[in-house]
Amino acid sequence: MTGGGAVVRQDRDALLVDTYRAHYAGLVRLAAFLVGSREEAEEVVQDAYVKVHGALRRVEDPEAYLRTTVVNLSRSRLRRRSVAAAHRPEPLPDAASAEAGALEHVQRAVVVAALRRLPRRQREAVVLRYYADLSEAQTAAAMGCAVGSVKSHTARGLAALRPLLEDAR
Amino acid sequence: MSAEDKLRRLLQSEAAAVHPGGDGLARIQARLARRRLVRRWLVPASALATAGAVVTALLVLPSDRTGRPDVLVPGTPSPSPSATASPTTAPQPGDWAGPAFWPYSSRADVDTAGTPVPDWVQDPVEVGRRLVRDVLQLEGISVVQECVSCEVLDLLVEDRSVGQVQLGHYTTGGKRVFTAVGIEGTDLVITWPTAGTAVPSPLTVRGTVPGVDESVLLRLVSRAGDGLAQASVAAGGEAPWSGSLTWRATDWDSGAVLAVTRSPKDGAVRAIALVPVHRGTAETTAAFAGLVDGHVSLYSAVDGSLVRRLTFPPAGKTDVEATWSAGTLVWVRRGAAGTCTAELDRLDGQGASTVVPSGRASLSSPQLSPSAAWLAWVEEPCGGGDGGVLVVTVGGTEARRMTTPTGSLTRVLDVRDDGTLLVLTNDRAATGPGAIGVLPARATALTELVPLEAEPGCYLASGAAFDGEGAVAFQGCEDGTQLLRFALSGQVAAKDPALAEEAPLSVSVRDREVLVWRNGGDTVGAIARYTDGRLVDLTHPDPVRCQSDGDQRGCVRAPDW
Repeated sequence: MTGGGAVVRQDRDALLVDTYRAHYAGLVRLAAFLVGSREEAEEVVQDAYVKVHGALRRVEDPEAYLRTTVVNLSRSRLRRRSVAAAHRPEPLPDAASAEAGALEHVQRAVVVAALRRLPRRQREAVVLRYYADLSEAQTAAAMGCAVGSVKSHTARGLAALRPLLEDAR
Repeated sequence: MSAEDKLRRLLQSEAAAVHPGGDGLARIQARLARRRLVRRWLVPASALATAGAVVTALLVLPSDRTGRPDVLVPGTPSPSPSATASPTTAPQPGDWAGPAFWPYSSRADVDTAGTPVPDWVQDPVEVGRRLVRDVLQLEGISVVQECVSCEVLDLLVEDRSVGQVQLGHYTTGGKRVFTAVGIEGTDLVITWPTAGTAVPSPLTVRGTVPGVDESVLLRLVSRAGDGLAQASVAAGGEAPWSGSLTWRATDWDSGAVLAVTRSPKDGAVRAIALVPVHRGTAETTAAFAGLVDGHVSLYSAVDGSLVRRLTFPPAGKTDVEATWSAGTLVWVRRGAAGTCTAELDRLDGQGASTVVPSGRASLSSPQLSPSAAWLAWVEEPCGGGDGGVLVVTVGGTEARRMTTPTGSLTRVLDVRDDGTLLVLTNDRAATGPGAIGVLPARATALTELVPLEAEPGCYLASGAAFDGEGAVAFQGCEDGTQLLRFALSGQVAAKDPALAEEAPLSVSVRDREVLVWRNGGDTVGAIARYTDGRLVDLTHPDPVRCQSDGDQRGCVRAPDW
């Protein structure tokens, strides 16, 4: 009985290492858009790995399974924050320098700050569609909603960001 | 370039600037290892050798019920007698020590049922099946053991996980018997009550669930499988849900709060969460213990009136600190004035016992967890110095599980039913307010303390307590005081409105209700309930005599509930 358990555990531990190497960094970057900081994103992704560890062997697409869990855990994380903190305006970036790289950095910061102020579902839809490059169906699966909702949230989110993106050209 | 392409490029560029730390895998592996180990804590053999009789609980369940699940009660005939089995009540290494639900709510249930034990309680999957089918009465769920030895069962509806049964085990008669200690693993989470809480009626159950339009069915189920109360709660969106359960039955001691969501399309179970609880009596939920004139008494939490005197120290000895939870009292009894001797005593349904016999040491700040399973205190050598230890026990009065060296003046402020501690540390001279922090259950050094911090310009008062989901503490600022609610990570989760008075001396929380010992103004020394952002006094002490430099006679101090 113990030996069987050890074999099962070895398999799962090897799978954990594989999925960590394949997906951890990408999931942290995804979560960073959703929760706002790299440190919290890492916590969320680590939570996700711990949570789904036992089920990884059974799922066909571990990345999709982990991604859905990360989205859900990010929601939980945001829900626990106080309303004030969640809606605190992002500080504006420092004044731009004349250098092109610095200018893009400022534009990026402005867009990302606006992204973080989007309603949660719009932010999730935009990040999953335009950062993770998922299809509408994959995004719907990750968000746990219908494809029609994804279309709607994406369109609204993009509409809110479009003026900033046009300024950034 | 289209707006969409521009957005893609900016997001990729932003993401490229995020560099995960290099220790993610090690952290995940460490957490998984801790999860495996959490039920296998070793009990020092020396402590077990001195362990007295394990507290046994009287079961009030009738044995002749029909249509009831298999609950092991005294006299239950064994379907598989074992000639080689020999009864034992001594916990073995790895035995479960926390709150549990079914078929055993505690080690005492195992001892009461006796040996030999039925075959099915030795089969974890069968325990899970019977739990789901007979006790929770949920249909369409298959029970699968996640791995051979990890004591976790997956609950599946058409290959979709709707929860994970967490199991614990006890060893009896040389055999291992399993019990369910909770169900979790989905996004349906019960945040209150926590495992092991003594619940009064009415009980407000709180939790979270993602989704837009969810309906959470709440039930209170006794260990015998009786549905005691039920409620349905609309949930979803951003807000946590809460619902109230009310019951009249008193013929149960242990049970569980169950939350279930179902698919609106076909009614299939979508998520299950379960937390073991036990029944709070009127006395345990509506009274607090306080020190007065060198002994401990119990007072009404409604009007502050004396319920009854609990301790009677012999001449020359004084009871100086006490903790009260789930009908259990633990207190420090100090020797004659001018001598450094102390003992730690315990009073519960089984009578009085001694936890730490009288000796030349300073014992302080005993704290019981809500279920009274965990007990923590600080021991220091006479005369101070740096040789102190923080002691944590679980599962029996003498079963020492962990000691942590204390290099500074340390007090235990509270302990949860998972062994997490709330600790105050200070320098030897106690020149400042000290530092308050959360000490994880498996910590081995105070350096692992997760600090709780006041806002800039303020300080945290010495009183703090766990409130189920996190911790609460009052911060003192120039213009008054206010209650801060902390997550266990140390972050401030919420802040109550400010009160124009000094921060209280101590804080005690039960079922999310806060009791404080006031400090300052005309109400110095009063014991008050903190309700809706206001302090409502329960006791009305003499404002002169009950000052710290007064004679203190008749002053009720240091409330705990």
